[in-house]
Amino acid sequence: MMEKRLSKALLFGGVFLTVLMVPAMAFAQQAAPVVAVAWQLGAVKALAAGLAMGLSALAAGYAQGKIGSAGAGTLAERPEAAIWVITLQALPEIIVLLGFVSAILING
Amino acid sequence: MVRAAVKTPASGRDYGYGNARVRGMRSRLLAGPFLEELVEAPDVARIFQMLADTEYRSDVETEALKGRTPATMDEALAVNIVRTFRKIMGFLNAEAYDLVTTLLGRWDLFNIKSVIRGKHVHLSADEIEDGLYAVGSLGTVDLRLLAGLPDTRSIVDTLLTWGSPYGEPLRENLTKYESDGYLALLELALDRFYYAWAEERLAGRGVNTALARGVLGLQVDSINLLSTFRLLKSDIGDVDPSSFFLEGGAHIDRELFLQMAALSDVDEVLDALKSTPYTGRLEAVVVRFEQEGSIAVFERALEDYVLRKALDAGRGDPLGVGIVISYLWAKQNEVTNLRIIVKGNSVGMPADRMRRELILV
Amino acid sequence: MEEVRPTRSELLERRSQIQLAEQGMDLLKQKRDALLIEFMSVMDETLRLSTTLQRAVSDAQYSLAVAKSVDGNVSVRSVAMATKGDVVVDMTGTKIMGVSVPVVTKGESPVRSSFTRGYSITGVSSRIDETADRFERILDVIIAYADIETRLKRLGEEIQKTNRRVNALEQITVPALREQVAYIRMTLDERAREDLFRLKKVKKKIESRKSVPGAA
Repeated sequence: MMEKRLSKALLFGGVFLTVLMVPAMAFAQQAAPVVAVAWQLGAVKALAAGLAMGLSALAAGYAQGKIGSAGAGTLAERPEAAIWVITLQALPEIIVLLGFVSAILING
Repeated sequence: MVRAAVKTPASGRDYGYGNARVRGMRSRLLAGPFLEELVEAPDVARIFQMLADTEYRSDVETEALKGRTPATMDEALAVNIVRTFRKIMGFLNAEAYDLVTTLLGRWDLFNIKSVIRGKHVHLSADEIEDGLYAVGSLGTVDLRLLAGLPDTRSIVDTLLTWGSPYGEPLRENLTKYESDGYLALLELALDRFYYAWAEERLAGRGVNTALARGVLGLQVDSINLLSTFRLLKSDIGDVDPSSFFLEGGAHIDRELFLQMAALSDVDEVLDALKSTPYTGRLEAVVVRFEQEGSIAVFERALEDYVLRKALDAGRGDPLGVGIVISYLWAKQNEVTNLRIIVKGNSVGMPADRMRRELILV
Repeated sequence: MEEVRPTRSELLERRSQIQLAEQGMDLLKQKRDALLIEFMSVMDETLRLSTTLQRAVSDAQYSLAVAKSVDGNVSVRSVAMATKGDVVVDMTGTKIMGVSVPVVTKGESPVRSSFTRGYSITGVSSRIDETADRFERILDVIIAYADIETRLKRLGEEIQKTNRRVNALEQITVPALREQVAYIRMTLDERAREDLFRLKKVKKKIESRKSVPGAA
């Protein structure tokens, strides 16, 4: 189920990106007046930041889902490994964190 | 109950949870040095004491209340393995469940046969229960119900009603059995059906299916090989040897089987096996076979080989059915080893003799 | 002893009785010796069979222990259910030196092959199979042993009986008869001596009458 949802999200994101990015590129290449580009650039940046954040969050969710199910299995049999399970469970958060940082950098 | 083979949805292939649990359980298998200590144990009471610190604690302690004898220990081990296998069945994903129950179908066969054998000699349900080992897809409750039925016909009908695949071959041969009372034919029909059925179920593509198929093929080969050795030893009159051939072997096909069945001594059979991986294993024990004149020597060697192959299955994909298969076999072997130690200890078998029967991995 | 009439004919009677008893004793002794020889050979056979039996039993027990441990009690029990069978034993009788002994023979060998035992070999481990085979072999030996052992027992009883008879003749009958003979002879001798004495007395009296003629 997880994979299906993810692939749908990716597809949707991809289509969205092309639709918006292509005209933006076209405008940039035409060397249009700077003033006219400013709002479009802002929009693309915002979108990019959103995607960076959103996709990385989805990826982290996917990873955590898998780790979570294995972790639950491990905990059922070896409760003493709880610390490890929690550590591993939390690791994918780094992906979200990186996405968050990229989003800030894009807008900064 | 055996579920019908349907295409497994993606969610049915999540091995993360199940394999993590199985790995957790695998980490609690008894280590070689511990078994070595058990071999050296002075008496059964000491073995009870030592096992009380392991995975077996709850079962061993429950049975110890009835007395610390080899019989209660045997009971404890049987209860433990049934409980463990049922627990695993409970958390496996759909694909693994299908594969594993197909592989463990031989225990279903064993149980169905026990029930029918019990009926054959008119035993009570309680007495039949002593011959049941609920590690397959038929659970304790199902088997108890079967044992309580009045005759073989109602057992077959019940299996058919449950949609169990084993009902059909029994039904086909039931009339003949009822008229001549020849149990072996019924059992043979069941065996032949099961291995053909299992082969078909495991014929699909996919790494996991292939793994299970490999293990099944080795088992079938072992049985076929042992049948050939038995055919060498005894005269079966005008019975067609091919009726003992089971389909689905990995290396021994019908042609090779018939060729071997026509031979007259073990050396010739070993020669005929040259192209299969079994030859090395069997040749290693052929001297012992000649000393003891017992084909059990070959059987143990083949069991050893199949076990090691099944354990190898666990060394591959960490998110595949191999982990489960290897655990089931390892657990089975561990219980067998413990039984050997307990029994050996109680009959005063020398430690060396015990070590020779043990399979340590 | 009291009823013995001390007469010459009685003496002859007793003497022939002694002779008969001694003859019988000799015959019985010969029978005993012959029985003993037979007994010894049966004994050897019994010993041989009993060692075979012991070995068969310990073999079977061992392989049962292995089957129970490797395949598990449950499997062994299950297979045992399938192997119902009858053992046919024929019992007739014969006579050895006049001793009737039963002859036990197996009708059909209780040893079956893996294919006729009732289960299908494709589903039974060879350990259990071989254990069954060994136990059936024990049955085979047990039947032979039953035959030879009853023979041994009967022979033993017969030897004891003969021995008792010999002893009775030797220790009681013959000495009693000899005693009777001695008594009769003593009584007869006594009587003979009395007669002699009486005759002598009579003779003396007659002679004394002759020496005094006036008295006659």
